Amino acid sequence: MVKKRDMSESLTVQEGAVIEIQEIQEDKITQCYTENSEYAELLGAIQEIKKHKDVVGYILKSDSNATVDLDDSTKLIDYAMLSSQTFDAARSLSEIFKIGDSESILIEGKNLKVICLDLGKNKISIFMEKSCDHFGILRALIPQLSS
Amino acid sequence: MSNEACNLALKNTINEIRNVCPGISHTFIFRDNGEILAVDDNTSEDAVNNAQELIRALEERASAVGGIESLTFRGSKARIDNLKFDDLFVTSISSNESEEKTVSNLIKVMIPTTLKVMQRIYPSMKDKPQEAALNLKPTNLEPETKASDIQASEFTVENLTVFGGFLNDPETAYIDVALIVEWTEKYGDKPIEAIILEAPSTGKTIQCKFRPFREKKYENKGLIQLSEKIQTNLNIRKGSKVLVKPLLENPQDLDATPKDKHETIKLSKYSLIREKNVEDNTSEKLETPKESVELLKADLFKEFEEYKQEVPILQVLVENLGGFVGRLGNHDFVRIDNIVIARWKEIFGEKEIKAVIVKETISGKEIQCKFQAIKDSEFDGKSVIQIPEKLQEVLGTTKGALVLIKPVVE
Repeated sequence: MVKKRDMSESLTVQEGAVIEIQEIQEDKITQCYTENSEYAELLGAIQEIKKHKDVVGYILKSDSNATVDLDDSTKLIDYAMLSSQTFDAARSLSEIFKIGDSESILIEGKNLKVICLDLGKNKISIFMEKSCDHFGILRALIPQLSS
Repeated sequence: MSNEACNLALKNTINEIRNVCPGISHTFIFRDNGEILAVDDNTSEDAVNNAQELIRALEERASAVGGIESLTFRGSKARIDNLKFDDLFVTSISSNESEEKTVSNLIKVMIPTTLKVMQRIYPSMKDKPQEAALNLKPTNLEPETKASDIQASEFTVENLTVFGGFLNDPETAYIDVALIVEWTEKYGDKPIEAIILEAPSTGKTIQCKFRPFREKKYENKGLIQLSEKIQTNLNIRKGSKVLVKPLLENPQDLDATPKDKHETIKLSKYSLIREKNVEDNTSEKLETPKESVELLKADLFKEFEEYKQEVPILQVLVENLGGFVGRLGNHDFVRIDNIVIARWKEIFGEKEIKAVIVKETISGKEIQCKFQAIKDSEFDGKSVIQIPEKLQEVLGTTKGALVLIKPVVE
């Protein structure tokens, strides 16, 4: 289900417990995600997106799982906090201004940009260089979501 | 007052943006310190307070990506766009049907332009938005004095005499008071920070401070008194000709005319509405930049112009208030040009002008004090203010410097 790749920089967490840091076995991943097939499909799609040279990392999070893959692992906490706060802010602003269900959030920073997608149970934050085409990334993810 | 006027202009601007693009339901502007500058008529204060706290908190967290430049929340019904212009956040909420590019362009054009115009009107505006906000591309809206438009006048160099040279500042050029008055009339309340001296014979140019002649005998003779140091720097001597022109704060170079259709589009909101036509090459004629500026000014600053008319601000030249009053009498007392007072009376009619606010143009220091007309008719029409030396010290100004004055009306 999930393509095998070098996961040496990845961190996968299930219900708060770190399963693997260095290398994640495919069978474990499969086992983890059987209950959330959408998560597994998203992970596959994001792993493909991550191969793009301008994408510097991603955070995929569901209620029970989280996968983080960042080029610079020292930024993990900063990016995770930013991602979490962005989703919280989106929820609050949506209530204040009645903009409906939050679909996507784009943060353009001075150095990087971040696209965050709220897909109900699953939340994705993709960190990329400013030159990166974030619409292309959205297009790459949306067919995956619709399938 | 300048901040108040600026906020008023910003509010006017965001209301106009909403008129131009009805898809925008809310717009507000706040600083990164939480100060709310402008909110449109459709948005509650509570909503703005909550939103600005959330956005500012996110901005802090976004230091991991270098801080926020822009932020877009897309919802199923509408979206929230948040643009940052240096220390200002401009947030707009617009329906998904509204064209994102138009909304973004309107905000990117109108807000920096308003700020720029305000800064031009109030050069010493406190907490002014910094350069980044004002240097955005589409801000060349209002033709104003450009550097190349400032005309130089030719003068003959005169030495500072030994005695005068000792008393005077060797880095200051001494010029005719009539020239200063002429500049004040020509360039309004734009502070003249210094002058540029150019020696046509040597091609050398320098920038220096200036003061009016200390001795009347040099006036109206086409002379300029320069120290030996300045003469050496320019490689000239007594009797040489020099060109003198004022150095205005931020003279704008508008030589850069729009080079492509994209820039043309950004010239005015009216042009913006026609963006599609331009892109499609349907040749509906756009207003000229000048017409656009007039339309834009009329629409955006109608309210502000009224406000400004109510409280006229003038730039005047400081003279010492001598005699008994100046030295020993009431120190909270200045004398103003008769013509200026007459003009104020025309504007305010029966309203009592209680006092005058005098503001030093560079430091921004200001005082409020009583005033009377200058007794010496020699100063009539010369835009002069006589200030006692004690008050000059308080303001940090001296004879020959320029200050801004405005009346305090009941």
